[in-house]
Amino acid sequence: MRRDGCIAWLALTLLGLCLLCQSTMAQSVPTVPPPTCVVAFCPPGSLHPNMSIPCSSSGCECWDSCGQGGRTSQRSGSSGSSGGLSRALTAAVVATAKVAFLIAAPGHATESFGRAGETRQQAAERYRQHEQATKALAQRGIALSGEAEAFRRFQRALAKRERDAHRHLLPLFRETPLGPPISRRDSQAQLRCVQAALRSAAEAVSAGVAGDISFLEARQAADIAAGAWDSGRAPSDCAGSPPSATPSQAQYSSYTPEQKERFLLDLSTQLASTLEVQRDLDQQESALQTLKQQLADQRKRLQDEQQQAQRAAAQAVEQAQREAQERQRTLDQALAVEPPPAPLRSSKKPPPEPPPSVDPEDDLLRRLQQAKEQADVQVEATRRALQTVQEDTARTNQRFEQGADAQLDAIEQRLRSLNDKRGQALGALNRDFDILGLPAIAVPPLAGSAPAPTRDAAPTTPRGSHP
Amino acid sequence: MSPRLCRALFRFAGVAALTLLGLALSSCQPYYRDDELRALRAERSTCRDQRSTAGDRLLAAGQPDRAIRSFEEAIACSARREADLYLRLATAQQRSHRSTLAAATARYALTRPELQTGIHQRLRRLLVEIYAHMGLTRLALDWLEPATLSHAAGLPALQPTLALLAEADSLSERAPQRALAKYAEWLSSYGEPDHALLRNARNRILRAASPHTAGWAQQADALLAQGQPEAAVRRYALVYRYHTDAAFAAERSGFLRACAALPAPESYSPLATAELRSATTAIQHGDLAGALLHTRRAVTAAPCWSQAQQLLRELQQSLDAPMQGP
Repeated sequence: MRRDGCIAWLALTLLGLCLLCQSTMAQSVPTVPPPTCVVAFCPPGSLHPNMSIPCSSSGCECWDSCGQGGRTSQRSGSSGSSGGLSRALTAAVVATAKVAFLIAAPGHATESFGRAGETRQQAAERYRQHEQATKALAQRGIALSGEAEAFRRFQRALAKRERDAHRHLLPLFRETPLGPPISRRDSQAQLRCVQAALRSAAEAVSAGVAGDISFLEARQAADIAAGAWDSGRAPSDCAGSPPSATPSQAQYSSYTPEQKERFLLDLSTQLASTLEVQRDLDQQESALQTLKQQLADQRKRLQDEQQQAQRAAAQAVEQAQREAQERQRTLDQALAVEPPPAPLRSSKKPPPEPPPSVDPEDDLLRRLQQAKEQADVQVEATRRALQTVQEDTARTNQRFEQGADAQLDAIEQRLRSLNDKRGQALGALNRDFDILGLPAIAVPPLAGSAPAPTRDAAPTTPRGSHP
Repeated sequence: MSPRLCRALFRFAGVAALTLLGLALSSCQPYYRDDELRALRAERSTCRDQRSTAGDRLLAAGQPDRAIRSFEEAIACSARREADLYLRLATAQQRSHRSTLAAATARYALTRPELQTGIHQRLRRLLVEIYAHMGLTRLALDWLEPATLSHAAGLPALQPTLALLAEADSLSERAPQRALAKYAEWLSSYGEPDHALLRNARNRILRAASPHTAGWAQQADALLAQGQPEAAVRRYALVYRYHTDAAFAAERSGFLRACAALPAPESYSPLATAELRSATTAIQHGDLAGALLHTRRAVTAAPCWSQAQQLLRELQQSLDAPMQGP
């Protein structure tokens, strides 16, 4: 008995909970008409199966008019003293079901109940209208809901496009063979990278584009080379593993971010000024080479002219000597045919005035003697001319070399001065490079100060050989 | 009452209760009325006004999160869903630092029927402001009205990004070399110009400065012919950065030849590699603006790097992709 009671109470509790849930889920209807029986039919087992039961404003007559076979008549006929209790229990269950139905499904309840004094058709019509209004209202609500859903969808789509659409690009730059080769830790590549970045900045300077992005390249290269991992802008690109820190690098590491920024800015400025000096130096070296070439050409021309003049003077001397020898020979032959008594005497003493009657042989000898003397004078004159030409050549060469030396000295002095400046700039740069852990830049020898092979080895160069 | 009768009664009550429970569970479907109630709420104009006023008050009091809720309720109460309400909602969302949502709300509002001119302009201005704050300058410029560089540079949200370019543009006729220097400075910070407005300004500036940049392509060609691809690419990078679109198109084949001669151009540009790595990190964090900025700068630093060019193209395409509209 206790078990049966428990089952009954459990079932009733579950029923109550179910009804409570349903009533919570289904919201209340604003206006619900009072319940009225609209239509009822006799059950199939009665005398008049499916016959419409007449209903009035107070309710339907229910099963009384259905005759034999109806539930009520059957029950009333068969049940004895317990028939009343059974009927009461049935009525209670039906009433409970109706109440539950009214609470749980109020929309359907209007089908079963109507207003007092309302005909069946009126109640049906009113219910249809009410249902249509409810449907229209729901449709409007659905439309509004659709609009809200469209807005939400639009928001989601935009967010997806602006936040997530590009995430598929990720694999492109992960550590794959497709990744940047600079990530591979190759120290040669890293050095080449740093060098290339500095060259880019130099290129921008030479092109005259101030503020080009390559200056950022140079700065990045300096950052990377310094292993400035804490700067937030120096990943492993171009640098590989960070170099071991030297004392000067430790000094750099101790800088504040502002100091680091200032330091690197100064370094960029120094780089730019060093490049300027180097460019001036290159220009001066180029000018020096050009001047050397011009001087060599001029020297060659001058030498040709001088050689030509000397050759002409020497030829004149030779000609005069040949003439003098010829005349000497003629005189000797004449003396050998008839040796004159005093040809030598005549050379020691001035020739006497010719007498009015002179021997013809003596006259010939005298003329030959005079010709010989004239030839000797000519030889002497050409020798003097040759000497003059040689002296002039020497003087011209000296003047030329003095002028050339002056010009060369001016350029070489400028070169030395620029070289000193470059040395100072490179020294400062190397100090900064040391702080950054970069290898120092070697100071290249000055082209002007080194022995110039083209100049000293040149066969035509008279410098050092001229008087 | 005998115990037997009592037991029979309890049994009967249990059976009846179980039957009713079965009926309730099997035949009674739950009856939802959300749609009806939503429509009933939307027909009450007082709800919309009350919520909207409350939202304005909360927004003025510096409580954008609560204002957002009020405006959302006001929109739910409103039968016509006016663009004005969406504008207020977008403003509240922007103040609450929900930029993407704010942009979506403002753009949705622009699709509403019967949009008044004043609201239309305010919505576009709000979109410019939102996108500029998000760092998506290209999208901000899309909504600019009037679409001129001087107007854009005058807006507080875009001024830090575009002031240098606007200055260079204004100098281009009078002092082309100074304009070139300003443009170079702007290019170093912004990177590759990615909007028609920016590209037009670039062409104006570089056309005026063309006498100062002439001859670079010939020098690059000569360097390439001498077998110095690295130097040629450096010179061509200057051509890429400082020649007009038309002038660069004429030199494009030489540029591509030089790029092909240098197999790994990124190996020579630490800045480009660093920028692209930052772009990748930005992508990982869903930061589209950061990804675009770093990729633009990588392309500017190493124009020969095809992967950077490809990434920039794809990022821009993701911005241009059609959305599932309202």
